[in-house]
Amino acid sequence: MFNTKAVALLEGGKTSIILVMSVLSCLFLASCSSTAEHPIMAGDIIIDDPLENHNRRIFAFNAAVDNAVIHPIVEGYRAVVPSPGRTGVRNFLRNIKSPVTFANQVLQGDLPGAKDVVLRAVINSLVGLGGLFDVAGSEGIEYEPEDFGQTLAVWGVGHGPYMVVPFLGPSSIRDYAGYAVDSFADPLRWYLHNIDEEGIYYAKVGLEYLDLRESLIDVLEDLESSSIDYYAAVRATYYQRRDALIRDEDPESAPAFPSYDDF
Amino acid sequence: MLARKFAVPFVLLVLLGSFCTTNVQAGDKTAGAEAFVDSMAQRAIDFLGDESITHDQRQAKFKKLLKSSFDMKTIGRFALGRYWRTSNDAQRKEYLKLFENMVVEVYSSRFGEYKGQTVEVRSSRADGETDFIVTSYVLPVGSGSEIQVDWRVRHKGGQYKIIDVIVAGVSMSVTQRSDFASVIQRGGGEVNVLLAHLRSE
Repeated sequence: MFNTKAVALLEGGKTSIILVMSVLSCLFLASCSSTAEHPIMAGDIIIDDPLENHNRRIFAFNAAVDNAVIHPIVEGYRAVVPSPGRTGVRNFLRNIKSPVTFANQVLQGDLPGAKDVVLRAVINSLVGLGGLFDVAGSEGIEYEPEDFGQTLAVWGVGHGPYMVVPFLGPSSIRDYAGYAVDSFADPLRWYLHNIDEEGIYYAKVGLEYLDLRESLIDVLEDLESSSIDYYAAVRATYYQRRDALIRDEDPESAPAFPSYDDF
Repeated sequence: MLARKFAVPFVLLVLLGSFCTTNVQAGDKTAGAEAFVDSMAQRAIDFLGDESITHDQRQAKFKKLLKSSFDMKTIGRFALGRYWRTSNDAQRKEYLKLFENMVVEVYSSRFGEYKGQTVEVRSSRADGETDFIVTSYVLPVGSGSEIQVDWRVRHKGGQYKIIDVIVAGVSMSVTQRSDFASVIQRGGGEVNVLLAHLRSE
């Protein structure tokens, strides 16, 4: 029974497999060109955007979709669900993502981080009403976002070309491949598939998307109004934010500033 | 609570006072940078949350605080990146003026939406001879998570000035530099293209 299901799942995941395969070969190339040093040294970020014109078109498409569809939905979400409720949704989503976060912490060799994921999942599931309340977080065991893109980075794989993904927004070959691997490997997905409830999985993906967009809407509005070339500002923000996540937000490496003594 | 409100500025005054002495240790300077960020943030919060003054008065006060706490020249020069070298004196002068106006406008409108958040300075470290990274956290009013904000503070000519704000790992100055570089590159490498954009902002 399980076998046929597994085969069916693999069939269903064929597109993701092809994507992962094709993307892995790109990663190999990306890893060859990656440097061991930090990209944000001396205040410059290394931007590799050979498909810029194409990316700009998708960026404009995403902006149009945002204005027409996403913004009204997020506004509706904000109107219907007050802030504590939205925080509950976020906590819940983070909690059910624990297996993926745990696997990535282990793959990155971050054992204290992996231990925190387990502690958080146990505490929040039991005391935090199934993950709605971040009890562990208020006790000092903070949530740390991890994904396979970050794991690849820890393994020394470079970003590869920057890419703007339709509907999803800024990414890179590495990070998009990581996203595909995380989605494919998520045990929750396998479980829900096995009990014929894959619909729940897609509802979760939708909710995750809504949560992400809700958390970003103000930041992006702010960035748009404070920048001249919004595309370039988003791209620079993406690279820096990913870099901070890979370093687990270690403030040790803020971008350096020259002294400009000749003013 | 009230006692604490007065105690903090008092401690700051004492701390700041101690830096006027010659031959200060690096550790003192680090603490000085921390105190500088803390006092700036508390001053900002004091009038941002002050309901007794008008919106315009608040903006005016905020602009004044920004101008006195940020080293706009250094930030502006950094943001122009390698195009600083290729621009002439007149362009540089106009650019710095426009840049300062832009930053002040952007920030005063951004902080105009202040909803009662508090800033907590937690740690700091020296970075090179003159710079300090002060790490603070912005705490939300209701639910939600705190946001890490790092301030790069430069000690120069006996004064502390902020030269970069790094929010959740994203540097304001690096983002601005990348934005400006893209504008100039797409405009055929002409600094004037950027100036035209800044003039029309």
